Amino acid sequence: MFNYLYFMYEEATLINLGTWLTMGNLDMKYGLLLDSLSLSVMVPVGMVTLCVLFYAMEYMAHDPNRNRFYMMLSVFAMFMTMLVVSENYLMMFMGWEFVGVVSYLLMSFWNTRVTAMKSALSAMLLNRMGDTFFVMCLGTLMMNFNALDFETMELMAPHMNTNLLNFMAVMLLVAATAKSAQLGLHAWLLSAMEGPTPVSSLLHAATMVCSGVFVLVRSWYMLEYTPSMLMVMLWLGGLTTMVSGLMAVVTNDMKRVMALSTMSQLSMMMLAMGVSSYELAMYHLYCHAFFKALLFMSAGSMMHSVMSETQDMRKYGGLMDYLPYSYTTMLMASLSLMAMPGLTGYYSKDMMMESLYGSYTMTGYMMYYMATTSATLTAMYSLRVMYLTFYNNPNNNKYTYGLVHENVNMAMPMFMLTMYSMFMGYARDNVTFHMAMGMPYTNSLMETEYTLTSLYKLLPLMLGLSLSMLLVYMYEYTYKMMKSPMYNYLNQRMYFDQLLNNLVMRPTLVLGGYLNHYVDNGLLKVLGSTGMYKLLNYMPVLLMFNLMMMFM
Amino acid sequence: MSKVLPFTEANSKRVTGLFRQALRTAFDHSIKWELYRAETIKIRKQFDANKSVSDPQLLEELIKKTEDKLQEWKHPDPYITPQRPGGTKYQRNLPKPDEPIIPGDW
Repeated sequence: MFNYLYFMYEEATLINLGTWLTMGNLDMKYGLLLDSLSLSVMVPVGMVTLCVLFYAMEYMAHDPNRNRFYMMLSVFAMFMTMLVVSENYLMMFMGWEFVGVVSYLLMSFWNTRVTAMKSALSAMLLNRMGDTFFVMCLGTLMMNFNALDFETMELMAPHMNTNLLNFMAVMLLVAATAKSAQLGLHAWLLSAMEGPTPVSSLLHAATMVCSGVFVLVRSWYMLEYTPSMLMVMLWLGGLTTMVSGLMAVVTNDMKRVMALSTMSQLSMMMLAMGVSSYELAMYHLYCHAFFKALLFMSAGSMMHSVMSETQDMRKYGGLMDYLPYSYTTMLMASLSLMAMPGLTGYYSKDMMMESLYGSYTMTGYMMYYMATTSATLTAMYSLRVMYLTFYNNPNNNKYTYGLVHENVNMAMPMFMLTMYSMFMGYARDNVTFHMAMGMPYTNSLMETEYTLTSLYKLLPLMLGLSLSMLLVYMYEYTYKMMKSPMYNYLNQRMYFDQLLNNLVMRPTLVLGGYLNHYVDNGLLKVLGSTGMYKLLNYMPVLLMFNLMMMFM
Repeated sequence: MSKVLPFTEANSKRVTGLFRQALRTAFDHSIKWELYRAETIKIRKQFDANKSVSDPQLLEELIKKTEDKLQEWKHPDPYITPQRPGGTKYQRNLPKPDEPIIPGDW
């Protein structure tokens, strides 16, 4: 029975459901691959979906379009399952595309809101860019491997040209960057917070955004032969985790802080993959899903209980006495996220950071310090959220506080996730060692266990605890009004949206316009349809002239 | 633009607007209620200190100074009430219009 509640090892099973298409050497099947990797991802996908659906029954109870909402959430669960358990890239890509579509539909759930529609469109377009690269990768695979199933890939990858593998790894990395909101293609995740909280909790924290990481872990046999790509991944992850942490520390919108935190944790997974510790990346995905979903659900519970349902933390404060249950769940989720020893997050996150140092490479050392800074920032913004919402003096009016109450129906799924956020870390070795059976195992876990001094192991914890406490002290005793350009810069998310629009989007549109004018409607028409039409039109006339000349 | 004379309705509307904007800006910057309260008292004092200004030129200068200060302190991410434009609940589940969305007999 416990098999369904947390991952326990079973023999890998390949279920063949039939043939999809056969073309020459290419034999595509409908297949399900139930190995340690897919099953360990199915646990958070299944459990968090279940909890979020229970939660949404109450959260969305008063929405006139709630049926559409529940339906779309269930459709999402179906396609996410397809993405995770498929045995070839094409089926996985189908799942990948459909979760993107469902994400668009759920983000634009309140479709009378112009902002929601714009955000959903922006997410859709940025994701499509990543998907284009995914399709290019699929094409390259089909051309060079004559197969798309993981088993064949795994067997053939060592014998392939490194440049080819590099090319495919770059494309997969771009696809994962878009889906998992890494630096450069991250803007959509922040605007994705326009969707209802259960959507943010399930799609944009626990499951869908992790699919980029999942696809990369699935493609480990490609990445292992492209060390330069692993280094790119390390730097991408390192920069993303730092930048998102810095932005989160000064953000006032509660859900956006959590979105940035998700971004930061996803890049931690990227970092672990960069040092070939795929099992640790997957284990963090497995654990992170629970406490991040819980964090969103606690925030949603808090917003739901306040009359105006504002997301701005400046209007909260002092809710500890009013919402003791939400406080407890949020505290547990935050502490787990901060990697507090004894809670789930510690067992996954701390080990990843150690492994970075334990790789004993220059990049590894640099990334360790970046990850430590990010972990410190994580502790700071998590405690900042707690302080501003629960510990601070009330910032709203008395009438609003008179109506604040807990909701029992939302409490039940939150309780389940709290249990996971607290206790699931104890079963770590069962998960990681069995995942490592199907993936390269770098020994970095044991290496760090016995060779690293305690200082490096405890540095993130010590810095995180001391600086977050200092932040709370400053808020409580020395806070005064001030303005700084740095605050504005980080608060506006480094003006990244503006830069992207002005430096990339607009020039690309202008180029598209020129291409349309001079190529599509110009050269191609002259050499293609119009030219051909004119040629055929005037040919008989020329012939007639010739004939006339002959008889004259 | 013609000058707004002191002690007229137009002027009090303008000054009230600035006062309200100052209060909102103070709220955006302060995460603690006591701090906000202290700041509102300070703002009120500054406005009160100039309430009997009768020289139109001086009045214009003061208004300009206030506007500049508000611009200087403008918060990059101001608090917006959820139901107001720009807020998180604005335009959520708008009622459908009574008249047909596409007019005409199709």
